[in-house]
Amino acid sequence: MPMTIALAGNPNAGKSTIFNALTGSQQHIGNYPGKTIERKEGLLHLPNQQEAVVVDLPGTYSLTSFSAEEIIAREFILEAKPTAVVAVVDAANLERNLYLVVQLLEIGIPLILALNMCDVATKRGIEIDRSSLSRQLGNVPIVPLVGSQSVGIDELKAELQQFTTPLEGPNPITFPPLLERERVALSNLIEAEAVLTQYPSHWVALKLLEGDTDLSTKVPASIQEATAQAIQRIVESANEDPDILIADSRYALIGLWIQSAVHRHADTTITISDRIDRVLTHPVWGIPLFLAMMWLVFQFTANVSAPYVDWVGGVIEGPITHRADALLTALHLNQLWVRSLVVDGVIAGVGNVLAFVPVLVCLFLALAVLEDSGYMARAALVMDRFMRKFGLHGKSFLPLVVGFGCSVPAVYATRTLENETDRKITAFLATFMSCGARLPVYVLFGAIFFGRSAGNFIFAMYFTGIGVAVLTSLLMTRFVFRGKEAFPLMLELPPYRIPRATNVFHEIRTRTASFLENAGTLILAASFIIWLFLSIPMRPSGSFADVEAGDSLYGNVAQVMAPVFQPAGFGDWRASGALISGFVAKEVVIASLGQTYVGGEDGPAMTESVSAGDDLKMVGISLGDATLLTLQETINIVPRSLNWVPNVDIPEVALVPTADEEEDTLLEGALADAFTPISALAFNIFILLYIPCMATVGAMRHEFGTRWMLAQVLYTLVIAWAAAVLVYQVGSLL
Amino acid sequence: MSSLRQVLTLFEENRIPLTIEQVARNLDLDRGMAEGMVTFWVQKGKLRLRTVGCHTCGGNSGCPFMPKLADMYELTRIPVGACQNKNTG
Repeated sequence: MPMTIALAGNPNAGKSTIFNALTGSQQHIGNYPGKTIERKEGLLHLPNQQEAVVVDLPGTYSLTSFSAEEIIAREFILEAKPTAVVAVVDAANLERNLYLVVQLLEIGIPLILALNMCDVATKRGIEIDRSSLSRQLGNVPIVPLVGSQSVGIDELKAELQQFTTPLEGPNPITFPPLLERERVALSNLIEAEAVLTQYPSHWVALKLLEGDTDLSTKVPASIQEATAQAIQRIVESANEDPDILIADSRYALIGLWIQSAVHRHADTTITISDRIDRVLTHPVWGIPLFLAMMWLVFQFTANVSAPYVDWVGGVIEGPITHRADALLTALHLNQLWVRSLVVDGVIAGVGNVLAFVPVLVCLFLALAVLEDSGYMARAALVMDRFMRKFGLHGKSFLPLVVGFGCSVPAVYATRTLENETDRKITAFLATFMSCGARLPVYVLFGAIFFGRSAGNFIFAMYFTGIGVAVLTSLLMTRFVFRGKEAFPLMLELPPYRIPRATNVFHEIRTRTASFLENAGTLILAASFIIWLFLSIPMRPSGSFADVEAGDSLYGNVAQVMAPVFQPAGFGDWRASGALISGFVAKEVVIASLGQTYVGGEDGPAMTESVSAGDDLKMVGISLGDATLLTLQETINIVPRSLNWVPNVDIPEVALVPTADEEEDTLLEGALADAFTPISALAFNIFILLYIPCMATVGAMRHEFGTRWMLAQVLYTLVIAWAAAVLVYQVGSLL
Repeated sequence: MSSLRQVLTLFEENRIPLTIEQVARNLDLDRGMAEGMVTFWVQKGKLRLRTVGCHTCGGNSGCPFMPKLADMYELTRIPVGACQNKNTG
C-alpha cells in the first residue's frame, strides 16, 4: 500500500506549487464529498521507486471549525491518518504560518516542515536557524525550499523517503497549569467513555475547551456537561475564556520560537526603488514632480479623450436621437410629450453625461497606472510634508485623496483619524477636492473656452480646490481649533513596478461600470424630474410638455435664483438652474445644461429624414476620425509639454486636417454663445467650491451632526459665491 | 494582560477602525502575528472587517473611486462611553 502524504499550509504559502513539483502531471482533481471544495491528489515517485499519494489539503490558517476548509483539512488528517503531513510555511511570514504548525503539533501527527520562499526571506534579511527551530518543534525535520524554482524538491523527496516514523522529541506544546489540568481531566473522561475514538482524546479535549462547535455536537451530553463545568472553572479562576488562553499560549510559544531561531538583519542594500525614491520623494523636488505628474495626467485626460467625447456626443445627438425618433414613430408613440420625454429629457440629459465616459476612462487609466506602479503611495508621502505645514494631520491625506474620487467615502474615511478635531477639519476640506463627478463639467467648459489648454484649465481647477482647502485649514487651525498638533504620516512604500495590464483594466472597468450604473439610475431619475419641471407650464398660453423652458416651473424657480449669480457673470436662469440640480449629483449639472440649452431644439439632422445606413456610416467615419485625432493628440502631448520651455519649438504632428478637428456638439455651441471665457471660469469655480452633493451632506450629518453639516453648507456657499464673483469681476477688468 | 487581550483593548481604547499595520506598530508585534490575532477576534465576533466605501453610487464591488486603502477592522460593538466624543460639533 503506498504511503499517503498530506500537504497542509496557509493560503498563499506556495502549497500548490510544491504539490505540482512533487507530482508532475500525475494528478487527479475532484471535490470533497458533499462539498464544492477542490480535492487534489497526485502520485509521487520517491527516489527508491516507492510510490506515495500526495493530497493537497485546502489552505487554512488554523484547524478550528470556522470554515469548511478547516474542517476538511483536519478531518482528513485525523481520519485518513496520512503517513506524514508536510506543513508548507512561508519563510518570509513565519509568525503567521506557525500558528497552523502549532495546531498540527497539538494533534501529535508525524510532521515535516517545508520552509518555502526562502529566497524572499533572505532578500528581506530574515535568517532562520533551522536546527534550532527543529529542536523547539520537537525534532521536526525542516526542508528549505524555493517552490517556484523547484529548489529543494529533491531534498523534500529524500526526507519523505526516509520518513518512516517521526523522531521522538519532547512535546513542545504547553498550556497554563490550570488549563492543562482541565484538559487532562476531560481527556481522561473522553477515553473512559470511549467517545470519538478515531481522534486523539487530548486533542478532542482541547478543542472542546476552545468551544469547537463541530466537535461539541458529536459528543454525548455527559461530556458536554463536563466541558461546560471545566470552562466555568477556568473562567472563574483565570478571568479569561479558555479559547483566549489557548490561543494566547500558542502565540507566546511562537514568539519564543521566533526569538531564538529567527534573526533579522537590517536590509542595507539600495534597490532601484530606493534610487527612484531619492528623486520622486525628495524634500524639495518631490512636490514639483508630483505637480508635473498630475499636470501630465490632466493633459492626457483632456486632450486624448476630447475627440471621443465629440464622437460620443455626435452619435447621441445624431444617430441615437434619429433612431429613437424613428422607433417612437413606428410604435405610434410620437405624441408631443412622449417625444419630449425621450429626446429632451432622457437623451439630452443622460446622453450628455454619457458623452463624458471617454474622459473618465482616460482619467481612470492614468490614475490606475500611477497607482499600480507604486507612485501614489509616494505622492501621499510627498504631500504629507506639505500639508503638515498647514496644520493638517499627516493621516488626513488619505481621505483627501479619496475626495478626488468621491466626497462621500472621503468623509467616512476620516474615521481613520484618532482625533475628532482632525476628523472634522479633514471632512470639511475633503469636499474641496474635485470629485470625479465635477470633472465632466470642467472638461465641457475647458473644451469650449480653452481649446488645447483644456488640460491646463482642469489642472488649475483641481489645484484651486487644494489651495482653498489649505487656506481653510489655516483658518480653522488658527481660529476654530487652536493649538492643534500635526503628526507625521506613517506609510509603507511598496516597491516600484511596471503596472500590470490586468490590474489597470480591472480598475478602469469597475470604475467606469459604476459611472454608467450611476447614469442609468440617479442621473436618469434627475433628468426625468428636471424634464417634468421643464414641462409644467406656469403661464396659461403653454400646455404640458409644450412650453418655453423659461415659462416652465423649472424656469420660474431658476429665474428667482439667477440674480444672485449676476455679479459672478452667470446670471442666466439656465446656469443657476443647473447649479440647483447639481446638489443632487454634480454630473446632473451637465444633464441639466443639456436639457435647458439643447432640449427642445432639433439637431441638424432632425430637420430631415436620415436613413439607418447613413447613420451607421456617420458613426463609422466619425469613429475613424476620432481615433486618428486621439492618436495625433497623444503624440502631441510630448511637443506640447516641451514647448512650454523658453526657446523650444517642436512642431506638432498633424494626422487630421485642421478643419476636421473641431466640430462642436449642440451643447458646446449653445454654451459658447451663453458664456464668455471669464464667466465660464467663474461658473466652474462655483461648481468646484459650492455645496457638495446631497449624499456628501448626508454623510457629514451622519458623522458630525446637523450643526457641523450646516456650517459646511453655509461656508461652501459663501466661499464659492465670493470666489466666483472675485474671478469674474477681476477678470473683467483685465 | 495577554497579547490577544491587548489587541482587543487597543481597539476599545482607540474606538476607531485600525489597520493590521497599526495594530502591529502599536503593540510592537510582527505583522503576521498581529494579523492572526485580529483574525482570532473576528472569528470570535468581537471585531469585523470594515469597508470604507459607501453605497451612494450603486457600485456593486465597493466604491469605484476609492483608492486601495489597507483593510481596516473595527469593534462590532462600541463599548459604553465610546460615543461621548461624537456629534459634539
